[in-house]
Amino acid sequence: MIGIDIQQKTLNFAKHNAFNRGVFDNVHLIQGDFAQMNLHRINPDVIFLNPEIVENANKENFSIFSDITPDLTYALLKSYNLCKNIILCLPKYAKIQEIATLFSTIFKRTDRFIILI
Amino acid sequence: MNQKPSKPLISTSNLPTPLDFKPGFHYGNKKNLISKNLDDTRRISFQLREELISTKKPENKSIFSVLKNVFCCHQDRNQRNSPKTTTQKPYMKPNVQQQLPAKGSQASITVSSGPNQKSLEATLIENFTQTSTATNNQMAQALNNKGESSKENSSKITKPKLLENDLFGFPVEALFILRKDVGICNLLGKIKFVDFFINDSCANLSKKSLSNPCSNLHFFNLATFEKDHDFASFKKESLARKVSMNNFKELGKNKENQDGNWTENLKTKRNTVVDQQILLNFHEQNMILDYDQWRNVTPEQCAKHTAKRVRNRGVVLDAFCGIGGNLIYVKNF
Repeated sequence: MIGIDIQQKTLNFAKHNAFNRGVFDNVHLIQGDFAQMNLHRINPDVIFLNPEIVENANKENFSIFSDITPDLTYALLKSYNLCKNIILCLPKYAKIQEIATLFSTIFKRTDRFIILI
Repeated sequence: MNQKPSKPLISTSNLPTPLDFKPGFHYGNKKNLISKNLDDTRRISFQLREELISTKKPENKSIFSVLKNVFCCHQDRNQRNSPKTTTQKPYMKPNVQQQLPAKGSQASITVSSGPNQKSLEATLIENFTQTSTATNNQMAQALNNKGESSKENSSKITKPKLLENDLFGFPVEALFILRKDVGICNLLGKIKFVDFFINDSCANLSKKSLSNPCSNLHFFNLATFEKDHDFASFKKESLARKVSMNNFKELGKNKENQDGNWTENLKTKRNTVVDQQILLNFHEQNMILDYDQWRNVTPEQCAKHTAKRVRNRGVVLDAFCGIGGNLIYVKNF
């Protein structure tokens, strides 16, 4: 089990929380930006993605592309290249049309990307 | 460690149905309530109520099982402005207004929080500043240090008018409290279950009028409640108790980990928090949180559900682990 996050503070919290549960064996916490890391050696089997939501986001005018940091399309592309099992958590007030556009853009790009490789 | 589902603390058969209360309460009449133009502060409670009712099993139909977390009774707007409400005692102590910080400091909060939620948060901030007596000066000092630049814009904002009695945007007269239950109102610290009754006739209620009252259920008038508990000190004790449970002091020695006012930010930005706060039972889990992670942690039920699917699946990578909400459950299963 590997956890990545940018902030060292939250990793300290995670360490403490895992310690309370007695879960700390075989858990590795890494500080770093997910977008800039080379993770090809790890060969993960499953990837979780639950990126942050901006503080002042309205539920009515919520959009995946603007109100979520970091950029979701890039994160999903990178994780798709690492492994094919991805669990993506989105808030329930996310719009379905935007999700459709997200996956459509990604699969187009991945087709091109695979051809190039 | 498989966590058992939390048992219902109350046997539902003994509890009074809403009809056992006196008429005048607005129980469960959705049509009457939702058809009105509700404020944003009230609207959330109705959404929660609908969700809770829809998700629960038909076996548990009584109110206290369905609405374990939130239940709010709202007053008619016509009644709200009526002279009957003048008999209600103010929720805060009378000396509080002298202790309140200057108006500019309050309004600076709204600017820092963002333009979208001005009207909504301005209401909440005023309410909380009325209730929290001792923490006002700390909040004001902290926010003045941050938001000196934003004071210029503060004069432009017009405050919404509220009654003095308003705590959540509507006047409050009495509280029902369940001590052991886990619920939304972590604002109040130890008080995890709150019912607000807004009718004048509830002053006549007592334990005797309820048929078979539960041991966990307590009835308070606010007048007696303020005498028994200083409300501000009551909140401080509960916060300190949580902190001691989490051994937060050891982490708090480093100044990096010590984010001063995240508990107070929770109070001001409560509405953004409410949706997730149902799904999380951090009180049982003894987890540490920051405000930014409080919003973004995956809820508990989702984390359990995904962890069951992922078990025995080799290497699992959590790209944005945060506090490790997913991380814990994956190892548990």
